[in-house]
Amino acid sequence: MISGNIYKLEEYLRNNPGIFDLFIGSISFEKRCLGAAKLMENASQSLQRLYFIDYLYLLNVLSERQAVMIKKDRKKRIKQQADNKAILVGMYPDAEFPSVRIGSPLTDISNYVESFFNKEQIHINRAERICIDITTLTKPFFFLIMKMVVENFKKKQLFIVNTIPAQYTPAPLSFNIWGAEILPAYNGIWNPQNRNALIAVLGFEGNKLSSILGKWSFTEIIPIVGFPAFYPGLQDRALSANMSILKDIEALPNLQYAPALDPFQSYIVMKNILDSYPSSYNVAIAPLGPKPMALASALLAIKHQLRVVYTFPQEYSSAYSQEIGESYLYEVNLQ
Amino acid sequence: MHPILFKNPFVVKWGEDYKAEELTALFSEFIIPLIPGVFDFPNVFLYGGSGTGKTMLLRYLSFDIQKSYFEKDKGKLTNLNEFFEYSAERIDKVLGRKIKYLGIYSRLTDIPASLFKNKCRTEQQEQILFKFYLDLEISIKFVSSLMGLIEDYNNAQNKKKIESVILECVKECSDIPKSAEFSDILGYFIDKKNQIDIYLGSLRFNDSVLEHNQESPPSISGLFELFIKLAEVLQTQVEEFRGINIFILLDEYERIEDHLKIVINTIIRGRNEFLKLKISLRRYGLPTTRTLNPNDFIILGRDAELIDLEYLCRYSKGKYKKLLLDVARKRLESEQFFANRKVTDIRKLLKSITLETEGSNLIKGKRIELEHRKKFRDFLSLYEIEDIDATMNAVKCDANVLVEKLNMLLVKRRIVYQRRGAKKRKLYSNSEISEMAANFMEVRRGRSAYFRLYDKNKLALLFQLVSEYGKYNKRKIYAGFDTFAALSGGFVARFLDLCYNTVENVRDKGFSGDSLEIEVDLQRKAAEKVAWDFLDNVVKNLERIGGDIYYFVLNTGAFFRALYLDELLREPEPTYINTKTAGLTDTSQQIVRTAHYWSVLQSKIPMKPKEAGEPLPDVHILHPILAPAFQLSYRTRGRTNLPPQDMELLISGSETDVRKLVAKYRDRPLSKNRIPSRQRRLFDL
Repeated sequence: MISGNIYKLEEYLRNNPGIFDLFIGSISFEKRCLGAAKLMENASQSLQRLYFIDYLYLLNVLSERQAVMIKKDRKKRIKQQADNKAILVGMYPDAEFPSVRIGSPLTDISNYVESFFNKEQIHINRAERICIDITTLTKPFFFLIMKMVVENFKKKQLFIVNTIPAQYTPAPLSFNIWGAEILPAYNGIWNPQNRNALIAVLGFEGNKLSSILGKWSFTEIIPIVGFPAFYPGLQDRALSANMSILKDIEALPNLQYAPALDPFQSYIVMKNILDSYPSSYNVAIAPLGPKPMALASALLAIKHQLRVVYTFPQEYSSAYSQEIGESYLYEVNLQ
Repeated sequence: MHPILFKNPFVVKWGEDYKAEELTALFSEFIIPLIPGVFDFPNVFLYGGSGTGKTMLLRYLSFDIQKSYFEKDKGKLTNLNEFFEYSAERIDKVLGRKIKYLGIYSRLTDIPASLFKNKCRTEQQEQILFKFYLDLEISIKFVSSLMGLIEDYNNAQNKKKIESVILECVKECSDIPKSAEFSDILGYFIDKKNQIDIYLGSLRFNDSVLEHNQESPPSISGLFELFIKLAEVLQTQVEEFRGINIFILLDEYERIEDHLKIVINTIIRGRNEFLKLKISLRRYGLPTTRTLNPNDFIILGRDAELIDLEYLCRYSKGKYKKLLLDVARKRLESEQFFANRKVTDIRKLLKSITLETEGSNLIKGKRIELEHRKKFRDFLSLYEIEDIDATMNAVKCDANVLVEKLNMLLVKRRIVYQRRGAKKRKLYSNSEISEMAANFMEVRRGRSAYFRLYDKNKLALLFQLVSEYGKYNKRKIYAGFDTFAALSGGFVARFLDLCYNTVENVRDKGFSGDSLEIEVDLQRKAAEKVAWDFLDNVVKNLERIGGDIYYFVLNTGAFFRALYLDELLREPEPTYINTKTAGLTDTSQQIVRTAHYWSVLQSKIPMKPKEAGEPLPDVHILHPILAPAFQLSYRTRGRTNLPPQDMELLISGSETDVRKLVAKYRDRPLSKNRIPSRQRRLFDL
């Protein structure tokens, strides 16, 4: 069983100076990528090593009709990201800012994570307390980092940070679907004789679940909605986005809830679902919802060798969220 | 009317999602007579979009379902001969001949081929890994099916012999230890597969100091075409398997990348006499015929046959309707509410309406003015016809508004073509029209010229009426079994979708009176919902270029709709386009191909060109399920010839471009027609 504690990052840093040895965060077009960095700066944390991965999700634009719109939004996204990077460089001039351009989501992310950890392993080895800021790392990115850390650095003290935005705009996080795929490194063990079940953590985009169900076959589907949500009412947004597909597949009666901000409770909910299936089932997880629930999904998938299926977007939207909300710290006990 | 509590029997699932007991209860074997070629040829590619029933058919042929049927009817499987005979008889009942078989089903998307790229440097390495994985997958399913087959075999001596033959074969084709027993086989292969799965799920990290050491890549040797050899030894060495067809049923071939399809093509090219491959795929899912031997290819007709299930369902209408009736019957029988009331014939449940009644309903209503007459009068004024009242009286037919509309059409044609000096056309005077209509109303049958004109144009005329009365919120009624069958366009799943949504509407509103007939308006609402759901939830979200296809469909629907308002009805009910696809840009070709791949578009054999020597065009039909969204016909009748440059405008053009196209392709003596759309305004043309 994975367990841990939840703190508000600001309070925790105030009471625990110099708590992290190594920090891995990311630079994004979303303002909230600065949340944890600002709090650490305010609390005068002295870190041995600090990384802000500057990744750009730039897949080939295949749509002729939307090309102009996509390019315009990309330009905006890149500009916002450059502005955020400039702020971070100003705050942490000694930090590392490794950059990566994602052209092929299936290979580029895993190749990058592998090369990053192989290259930086001396520093990572030295660190006792590692903090990963998953706020704006895309799920494939942070799932791969989690797998690398959990499998190779189990004895380290692991902290995860997530900063929620001050507000979600009505805009979707992404538009157009690139494809539903098995997440690299999360193939799981899949017995062809078994029936398949899917634990689907629902997000704001119903088409992502549809894509997964269109590609693989699941005789049982258990949807989970984050409730209580980050903000009141977000659970309704997730539910209404997925209502049509859930009705079609008659999965509404199976609907379960797990607290969106609590990965440990979410882990228990998912583990209970997993335990309810006999060994004659292959169980997969689709982490399409909030980050803390995705963290729970990653930990569960790693521990039980589950398959993770994910719908990769073609393009992220620059206007998904606004400003910086609360930052939460999750102290994860891996042992 | 009160809401009624019952379970909707028309829930649609993917073919793979049905449990064995559900599939045996709901599957209709009437799909088999539509595609006898599946059994006629050893290797078959079965074409069809998602929901046509490919997966259901392949699963039906698989051992699990064979066994499930047998156990349901005959009890425990203790005699192999009886088992094969029983399955053969089931086929015989619908096809008229016995086919003895054992089916091994495998879904190619179960192979995590997309992860191979992370572990292999070259396509050749991926092919080797894929071939090994495929061998493992099929062999595991084959061996487990054989185990299930002989598990309770009452002939102990023969059972032992079969076990021994299988074990010897496994030892010959794999590196299983020589000391292994029959019961060890499955575990051995599953372990092998798990090693690969773990390897595929691992990350490269090289530090021996760390606590976790990555395993080295597992060996991908120790198994070579076991399933092929197994099929051979069973048929040559085991009496019970003599004359038994071994079907390897591979689903979702289109989902794997081309360089991996080559591996399967190589097995097909091997033309092994003991193995028959039945492979399902979507349209355009077969872009390569290459094999692992760079100098060799599969040739359709020699190595494999291509059977288009989607096409056959659309054009063998009688057989297709028989299939749908049976599918619906099984569904209705599965729900007590309908079974207890003996309502198992979908034709009786779905009330239908004649075009004449529909036309008459359109013009009924307290505040409704007779718009079609007003418009006709405007037309006559525009063309400065002298005695308008006399012409109005000549065309009038209070008993049948469609006859009246046809009369108006004939008058319009006469006026317009006379003005243009067209000589070849047969044009009718007012008195001839009036007389022909009167005769028709009296006799209502026969093969008169008027009858033929009426029969040809009545639906198109009704669509015009729908437009004319659109401002009174009048909609085209899509109702009745025959209409639903036509709207489904050869897709059983779409037909079930229509039934499902119709029944959902009844569950909310209740049946009217004691009869369990469902009102046509509830069916119409369901049809419109299914059409928009297909467009908004399926088409828009298609991978990578869904947005482009979505707008292409909107343009095409609006374009066709505008052509329906052609007052001279030169081409009734246009629902398809003739063009030369090769003349389109690469991007547009990709959009068209993808639209076919996902069955947003369908195709048909083109009609003979008007001029001898003219090349045959490609035909692109808008899927009829979309008809209610655009208020179009569900029949494949009217063609529109578009040169590639005009087709480009439909694919990537703006509203203005489509307006220009309409102006070019629609004959509009009056330019005041508008497209009514209560649900959503596309754009007015």
